[in-house]
Amino acid sequence: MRLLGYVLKRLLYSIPVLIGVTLLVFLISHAIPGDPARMMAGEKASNEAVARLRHSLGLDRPLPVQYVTYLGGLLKGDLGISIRNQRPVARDLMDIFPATLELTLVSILLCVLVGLPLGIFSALRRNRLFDHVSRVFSVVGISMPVFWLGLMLLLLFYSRLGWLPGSGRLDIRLDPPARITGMYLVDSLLEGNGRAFVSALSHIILPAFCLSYVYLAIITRITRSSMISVLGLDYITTARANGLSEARVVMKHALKNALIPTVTITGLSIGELLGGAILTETIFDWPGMGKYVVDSVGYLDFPAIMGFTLVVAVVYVIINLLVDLTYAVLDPQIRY
Amino acid sequence: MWDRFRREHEWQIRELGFTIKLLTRNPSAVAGFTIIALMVLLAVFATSLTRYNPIHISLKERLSQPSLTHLFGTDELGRDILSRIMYGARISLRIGALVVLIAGGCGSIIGAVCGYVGRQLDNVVMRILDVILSFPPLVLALALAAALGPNLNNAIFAVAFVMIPKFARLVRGEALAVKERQFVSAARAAGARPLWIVTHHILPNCLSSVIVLGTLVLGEAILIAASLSFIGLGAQPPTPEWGAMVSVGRKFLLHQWWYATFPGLFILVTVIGFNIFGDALRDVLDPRIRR
Repeated sequence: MRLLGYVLKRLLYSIPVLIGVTLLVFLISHAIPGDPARMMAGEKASNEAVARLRHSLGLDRPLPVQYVTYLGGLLKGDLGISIRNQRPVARDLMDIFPATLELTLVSILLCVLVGLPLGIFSALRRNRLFDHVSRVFSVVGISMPVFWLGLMLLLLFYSRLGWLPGSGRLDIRLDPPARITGMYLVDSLLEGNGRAFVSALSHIILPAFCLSYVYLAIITRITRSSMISVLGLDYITTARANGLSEARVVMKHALKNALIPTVTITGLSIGELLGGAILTETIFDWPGMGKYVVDSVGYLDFPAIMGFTLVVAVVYVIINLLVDLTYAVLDPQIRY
Repeated sequence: MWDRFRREHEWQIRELGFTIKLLTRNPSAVAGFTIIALMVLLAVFATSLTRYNPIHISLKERLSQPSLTHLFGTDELGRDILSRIMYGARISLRIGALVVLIAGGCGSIIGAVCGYVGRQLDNVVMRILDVILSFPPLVLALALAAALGPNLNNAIFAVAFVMIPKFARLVRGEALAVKERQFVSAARAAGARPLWIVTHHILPNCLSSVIVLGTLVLGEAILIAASLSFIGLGAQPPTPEWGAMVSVGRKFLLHQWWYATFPGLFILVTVIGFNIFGDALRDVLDPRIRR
């Protein structure tokens, strides 16, 4: 019952944050110097045409009224019309969202599959060579300019060694699999198309590694430190004294409790990865939301930029909510 | 005058001396400090360290490989990349310092006031900061910088804005603890005004945590600002900003590897310097793990 109360409270609390997020995005898009109506109508348009456009867009009404109209549009899934291609921003984002989702999910998988064992092993080999190496690896990770890492990966694995493809999601000679989820790895498997799957996999390795490296470093550190603190607790000593094998003590007794902070960080990283995707997708020509927003920056396409910002923030808030709820289920001590 | 200063602040000076002694014994602190010091030296003495002008165009020498005359090679306009990197150190360090000054200053004041005053004000301001924290930092900085217009000052403002909540939350937490201490009650009983208590008791007691966070944020700010420049929203050509240099160098990556490689390497090393120094500083300043 107390859990249910917490869930409800946490859900209610997200509502003002979401409203705040829309308000902030709305205010930022109104901070744009210059006249958006003039920008949309083009340099050569007459003053009357600009005034007409301004009126039809509602830009001549007071700000609070504009905000309410904007909120109403959002509820209907309207993010405005892109200046660059005259298409609804919401539809563009829907089309490319699976590409970003696929990249993010594979990156998270990499983070967990590599970061977790690294962290556990570092904790067990505390202050030995392996631990020092993993420490250097994570300091480099949190200090890494993602865009530069991407370029260096391209230089090495694509240009010099020629092991992996350097851009796009699929070999251009192959037809993309029929769109079911929009994620090529999943769709090609569902279709039973082995060649497309292998090609999609080889295309995603470099960008996914590039995107995951920073969070890999963070997950390794968190797992290490929580593992170290759990291994020092009395119940672990008891388990050892009872003659359980070291593997059983570590994997079964310690890991279960040490995982809680790791789960939190992994969840939060999903949101952060959406930010990192901006740079990674640009470097690897990955046709997702990150590349979309950078292309939009080049055209000063504000509806597209603000639409992206809003979608990412909303996804981020929802993920934080889910992480908090998972946390409450995992750790019965946490109730606010 | 110096004598009087020394007498009045004897305890603080001893404490500072002790901190420095601990820092010199900490290998990460020494390594981090060395990197930061080298970058500062590069930035300060850029003019005397290199004989090349960072924006001087010499088409005859365009895109030449690293050699003894041009250690890091030249770019597409024949400009020496090493000297551009040295001048770039000025820009990156200035970005980091300005962001920390703006965000640290605003954030600390907001946090101290909210923590001390509490009640409705605290509630409202913290909810506003929650909204800012609901965005991944790079995404919000990108939207802000795009809206304000692509130039370096706007990028600095955007990054600082994104960083304010970090300082505000930290200082608020400390302020909540400090205001319950006896010397604050004593000051209040003696009739001190809230503003005086905030500036004389709350803020000075948060200083060491703010310095630690500031060091770490400095590195992060350099990273985000370089990312914005890479996208085209920060420094504009011909400014020798590191992120912007990588951005142009990207076009020449496959044939002129040195162009994008060296500026990026300097971003990485500089940020590593601030991160390991910041971490070591936290270990040394934290009274729980100190000594």
